[in-house]
Amino acid sequence: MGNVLTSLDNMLSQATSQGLFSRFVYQNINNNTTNATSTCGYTTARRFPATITVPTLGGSVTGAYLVGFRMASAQSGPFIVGFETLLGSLTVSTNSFTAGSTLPSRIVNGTGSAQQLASIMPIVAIGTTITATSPVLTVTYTNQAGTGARTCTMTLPTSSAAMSEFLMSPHLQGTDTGIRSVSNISISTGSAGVINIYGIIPLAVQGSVSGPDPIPTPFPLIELLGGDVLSFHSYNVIATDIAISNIVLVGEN
Amino acid sequence: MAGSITSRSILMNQLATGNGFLFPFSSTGASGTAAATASGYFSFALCANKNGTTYPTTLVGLPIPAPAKLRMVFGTFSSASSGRACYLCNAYQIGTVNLTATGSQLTHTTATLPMTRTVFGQGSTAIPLLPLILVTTATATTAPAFTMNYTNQDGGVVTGTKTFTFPGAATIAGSGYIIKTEDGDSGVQDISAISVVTAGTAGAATIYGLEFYEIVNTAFSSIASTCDSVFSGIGLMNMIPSSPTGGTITSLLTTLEITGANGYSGVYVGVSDT
Repeated sequence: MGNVLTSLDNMLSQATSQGLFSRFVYQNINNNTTNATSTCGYTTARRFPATITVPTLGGSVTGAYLVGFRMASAQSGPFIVGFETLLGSLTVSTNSFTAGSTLPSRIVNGTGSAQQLASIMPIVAIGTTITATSPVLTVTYTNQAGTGARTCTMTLPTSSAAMSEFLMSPHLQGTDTGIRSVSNISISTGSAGVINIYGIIPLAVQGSVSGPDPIPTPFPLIELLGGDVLSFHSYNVIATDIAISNIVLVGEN
Repeated sequence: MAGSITSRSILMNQLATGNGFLFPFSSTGASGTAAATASGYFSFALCANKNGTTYPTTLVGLPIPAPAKLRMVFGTFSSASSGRACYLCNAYQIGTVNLTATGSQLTHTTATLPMTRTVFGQGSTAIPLLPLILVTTATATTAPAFTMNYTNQDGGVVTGTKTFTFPGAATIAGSGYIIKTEDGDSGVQDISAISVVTAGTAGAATIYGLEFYEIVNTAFSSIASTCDSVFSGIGLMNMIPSSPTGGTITSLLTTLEITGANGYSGVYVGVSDT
């Protein structure tokens, strides 16, 4: 049983004995993205295309935890790094849905048995620029409590640009706060583009571009496994951008 | 998950299993006419959601979901204005005021106040609000002045004696000020009348009652400041708006900025507590 979370000393011990995983990634948003509206997330957002995949865990390491995050950008923050699950995709021209995965079950904060995760930050991510006039997107999902056939309806901006991101949480059905999985995506109109729905488990936030901010990040520590994808998100800017992101993982055995 | 939040571990589990809310936000305010002594000393900007808000008449609130209870646990805020206090608050629209005629000029919301929520286990407890007046139509010719009759924080009925005078004959739309209450009073449960004693030839305003959730100081421009409602003093305010005694009321989640109007960007996080 791992002992990363029992004390800071244990975490340091794990870091020195197992070695840290530190990765820098250069990211480029080379087109203007699209502003959100109150019918599609309220806050302008975008998903950087470059992600980091947790490597295969070797030796006696059974899991990894994010312990460091910094992001330097030409634009302003805040920035969030999250554990990402592709829940489903939509090909706009044919209005055809491709199923993704359900969020996994993982140990939270190093204690107890694995719990079914649900994303409090589900997003509509524009994979390739869509051609559509004020399309209405309908996402059918299973909520945080495991209730299926729930719907999220959003009216997207006309011809949203690639790498734009629209926050789903304000538009979930009823009192829903999270998503476990997606069973269907459909769009009212459109002739081109790809839309991806991701379930993001936020792991850390950086409040501004001028960091390092002395920000404590009271997000739950989620056990990460080999193959897990970490993605990066920024807010309130649509201009082109370059960024360098750094994450640090510590292994547990 | 049913039950109350009784440990940090439970709080974190709620976030991991989807029983919470994380929202990156951006708010924007309108530059107004600087306050003067007779208008409360400080100018205030009610900063609503950046996308969709057009001052002074179309304000879009910051979004929150609607479980029964949503405890605020964390927020990070940055602003282009340095050294500003930022308040995350709910603004309840108490009424509108005509500033072009003397006499009683408040059109009260159809909702019945006070606003209520559970406090110390007692349901439907009246809560005090801080009254803010937001100019929606610029004044002209003469700086309007008024007194306010209200029910104070303790439920006492007060005939106001302090005169609020707008800082300029031409106080621009978007200007915001806190309305003075009588000495010893700290808030209002309701406002019964706005008596305009000096009218302008133009001017209108909306009065909001503010319920505060968190206060964060932005020490340096564009450097984020944070509030941890779990460990930096007990906060855990229920972010779900309080309820009027009767009817419905317009409610906006906003950020309030003192002596600036750049608005804020950041993230706020809440945990479902039902």
